[in-house]
Amino acid sequence: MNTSTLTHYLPHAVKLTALGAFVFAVLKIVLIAQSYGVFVALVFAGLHLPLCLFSLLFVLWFFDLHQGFGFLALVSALFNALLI
Amino acid sequence: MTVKDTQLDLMHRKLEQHQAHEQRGLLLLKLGFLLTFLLYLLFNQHLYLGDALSWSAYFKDAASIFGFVFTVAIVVLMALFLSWVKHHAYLHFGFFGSVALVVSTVIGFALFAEFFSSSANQDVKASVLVERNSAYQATLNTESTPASAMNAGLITSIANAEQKLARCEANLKLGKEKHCDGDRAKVNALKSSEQSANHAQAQANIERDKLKYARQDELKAQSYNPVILTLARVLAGESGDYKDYLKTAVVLITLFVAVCFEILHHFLSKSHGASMAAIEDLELALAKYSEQPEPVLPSALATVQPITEPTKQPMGFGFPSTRPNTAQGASKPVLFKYQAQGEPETKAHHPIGFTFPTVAKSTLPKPSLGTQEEQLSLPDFGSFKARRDTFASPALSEAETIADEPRIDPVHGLMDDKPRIDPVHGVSEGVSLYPAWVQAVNQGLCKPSVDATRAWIQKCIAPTMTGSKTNDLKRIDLMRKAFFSRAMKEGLMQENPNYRNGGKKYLWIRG
Repeated sequence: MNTSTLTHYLPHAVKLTALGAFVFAVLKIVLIAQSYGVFVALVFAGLHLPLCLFSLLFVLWFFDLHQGFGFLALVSALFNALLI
Repeated sequence: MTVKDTQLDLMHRKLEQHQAHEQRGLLLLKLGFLLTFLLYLLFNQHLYLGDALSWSAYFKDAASIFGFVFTVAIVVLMALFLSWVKHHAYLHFGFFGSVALVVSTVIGFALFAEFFSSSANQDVKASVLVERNSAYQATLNTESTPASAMNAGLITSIANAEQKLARCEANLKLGKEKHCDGDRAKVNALKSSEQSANHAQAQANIERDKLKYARQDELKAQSYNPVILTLARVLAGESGDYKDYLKTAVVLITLFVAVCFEILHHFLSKSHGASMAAIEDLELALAKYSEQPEPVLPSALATVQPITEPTKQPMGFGFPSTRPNTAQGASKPVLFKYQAQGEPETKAHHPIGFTFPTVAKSTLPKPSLGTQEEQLSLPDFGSFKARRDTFASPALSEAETIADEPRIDPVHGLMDDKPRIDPVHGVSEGVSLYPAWVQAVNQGLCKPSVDATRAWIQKCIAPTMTGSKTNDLKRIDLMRKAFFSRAMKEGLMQENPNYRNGGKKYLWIRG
């Protein structure tokens, strides 16, 4: 019972976490753009925002089939969101 | 809906799933390529052009502008070339496997470029933040108080004392004063005080500058990302200064992010190769299966075996097998009669795709059979030969076809009792081997020992090869064991109870 619950909710939790990380990253960039301007926001976004998007898409599309790589992508999404 | 329609529907659905998966993977691969290009672009920009804030120096004259444009072109083309090479290499890995040297070169250089540009980006962000920090700006704008303003009263006193000393010395020359020692002492004392005050002022300035620089360093360090600060504090430990580990933390974190990206990118290339192979196999299987006629279910097989989908992907890249179970599951009971009757299955090894049994080949009736007899398809005897060593000699193979091979039951010995071999002259048609061996032992032509029996069997079934040159020692030994087993069961032979090394292991009981 517990196992089936975990297997049912874990993928959703992982995907939601990755999505939350990307939303957090976008929000950060928007706030920086409002505070310091678009150019500074571009500098801050750097490659971390695209990498966060890449990891998010990987989690959303591949986590159901490849959990190991999916968790790695989740970690990558979180780190990239935090590093902005 | 017929079985074939269901099967085709299942295969179509699987194909659609694979194609959707492949499309997503391709999209991610393209995104990975774009990211790689941007990473290389940033790397080259930092390497050849420096920080963007310093580019204004390139726009002073026409020559500088030309050089700048030329370098920008090189930077862009080089980034494009490197990212294409990496993209192509990853696609190549997906289809043809990888070479360690190429993998280490491509991935190693990509990692280096990625964490180089990422760490530079972190430094730029920190400098942008610290420049906009008001506290930092306040430390920059603080100016030290001039020493002259601090000691204005003392300077006036010194000037007055020196003036008084000068008058005194003038009066001394005129003889109006006896000495000027008092005025001179006062001047000296005031100058000494001035020196002490200046020294104290200088010390205060030094200390203030130290505090100011420390504050600036602190603010600069605080402008880094909190994740980097945390890692730097962890690296520094309790005794160390975390500011000394900031660069190390930046490198480690950006390296970790770069490694994650490279792993995912490399996985996508493998996934692309596996997806393409699965799609091609499914399309080929669909094409073949669509052309086949509708299989007729025999009355004995009223129920169709349930088609089971694999519930979980295997470990590793986990792409579905190139030989799905769905097609086989339906075709087996319909097309192989001998399988339906429980006979052992002869598995044909196909590397990829679905397995399609050769129906026409196995159902041709033999003209010698009567009309009331049911024809059962026989397994392909060629596959039995394929299991042997590749060094089998033609002579041995001809003598050892399955049709000529005596059937051996591991418990009861030989199944065929008809004598087919002359114990003296070797193999002859219609002669079985076991009675011939018994006869040969009884006549003293063969000893009832392991080695002698092996040699006798080999002489019968493969007379052209002797000793260890034969490639079928295992089979000969199996026959020898069957002979001994049956002979002991029939009371012709028994194990020697007093057996020792070098002695007789088996005793022959003559009838």
